[in-house]
Amino acid sequence: MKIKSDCIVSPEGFLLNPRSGESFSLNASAMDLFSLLKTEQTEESLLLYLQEMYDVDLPTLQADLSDFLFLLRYKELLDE
Amino acid sequence: MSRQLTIAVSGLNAIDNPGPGVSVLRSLRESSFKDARLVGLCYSPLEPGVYMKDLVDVCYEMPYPSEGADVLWNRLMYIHSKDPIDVIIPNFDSELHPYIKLQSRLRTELGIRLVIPTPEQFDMRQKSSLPELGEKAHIAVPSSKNYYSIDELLMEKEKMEYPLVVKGRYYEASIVYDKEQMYSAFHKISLSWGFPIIVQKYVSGTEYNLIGVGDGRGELLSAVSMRKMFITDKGKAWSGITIDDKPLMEVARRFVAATQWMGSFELELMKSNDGEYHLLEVNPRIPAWCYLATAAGQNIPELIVKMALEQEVLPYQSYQVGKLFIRYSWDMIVDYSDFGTFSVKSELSYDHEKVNAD
Repeated sequence: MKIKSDCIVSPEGFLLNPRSGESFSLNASAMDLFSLLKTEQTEESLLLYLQEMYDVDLPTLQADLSDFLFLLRYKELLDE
Repeated sequence: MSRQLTIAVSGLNAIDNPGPGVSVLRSLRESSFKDARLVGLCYSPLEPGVYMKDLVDVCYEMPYPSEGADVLWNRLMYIHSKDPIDVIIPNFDSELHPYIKLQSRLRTELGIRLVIPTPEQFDMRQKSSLPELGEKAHIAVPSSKNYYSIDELLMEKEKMEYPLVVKGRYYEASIVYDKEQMYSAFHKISLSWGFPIIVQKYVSGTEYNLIGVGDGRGELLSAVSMRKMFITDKGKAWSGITIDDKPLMEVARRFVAATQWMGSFELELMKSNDGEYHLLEVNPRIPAWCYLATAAGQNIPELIVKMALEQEVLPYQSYQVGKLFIRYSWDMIVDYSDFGTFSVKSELSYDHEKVNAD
């Protein structure tokens, strides 16, 4: 999976879906994931990254990642 | 030496439902026609565009469109004798009827050119004809019915499922949630705009607008779409952002292909939660937010002037996505002498100021 190439994001993490005109504010961890998703990723590779970066238990990381990816899919921001 | 090109523009009012004229003039001042003589055609000395000296060289008061084509012709003859006009860009729906009527005569007798829809195209997009247009162009249009009297409406009152949108023939619309609101809106709008009153199914979703230009042969020469970000209580966009959604562009292409549209237009659409675009209205002219399209890379007033002058035009291919417009009001300070001159003489020229400045 990959973030759609036409998405526009400001340096502060304000994301625009250019097809709908919807805007989203990304927090620091979402910005990290967003940067990774500029190149092809899997759920496993993203989870591995989060495990290395954050001192949080695995079920919480999995749930947070799942929510984030659900939102990206729902808003049609992912290429899969 | 060739004469300076003269372009006349109407719609210089700027109330909470602003006319497009100021944005059109601003676009022209930033175009290859920036040195043209720009003439404002106004209906009142209180239209702010009259006093925008950087945008207009001269302004003339015009008769209201309801006075008919003959009165308009006489006024244009007078203006043309003082300021020979090459192109007129009319910016109000209500002006189009008399201009359509005079178009050929203006061209042959005065050499004035307009890029406006044909009478058939103008009628096809009337609110009361929109369902037929939707069918022809394969564009979703909310179902609607035209009512020519309150009695017709009363006969069907029990069948109505709310909410509904009550619309005037030319302007104004209200969302109504029960029959009391329906009667009130029906009366109010019919008093202002007459009949028919259009009662349309309400579609919930997000509002998008598209400004475009058709070449009169079914090709789309320009199109910029915008998501409304802030909407006034009159339903007008007060801020918006350019977007690029292929299905929305496809709606514009189908509209232009089905109507063979000539000139500028605006599509007003609602994107429902299932992702489908529903066409709510077609405005047969440049909209007030046209400067957003100019800033994003498609100068539609410039394109219209090029078409009028029969210069070669190529379809625009792209524009910047993510450009916003945020409208604001600004208290302009005006000399009483300018206000007085326009009020008394029905015209105001800034030529002397420009000569003095030189």
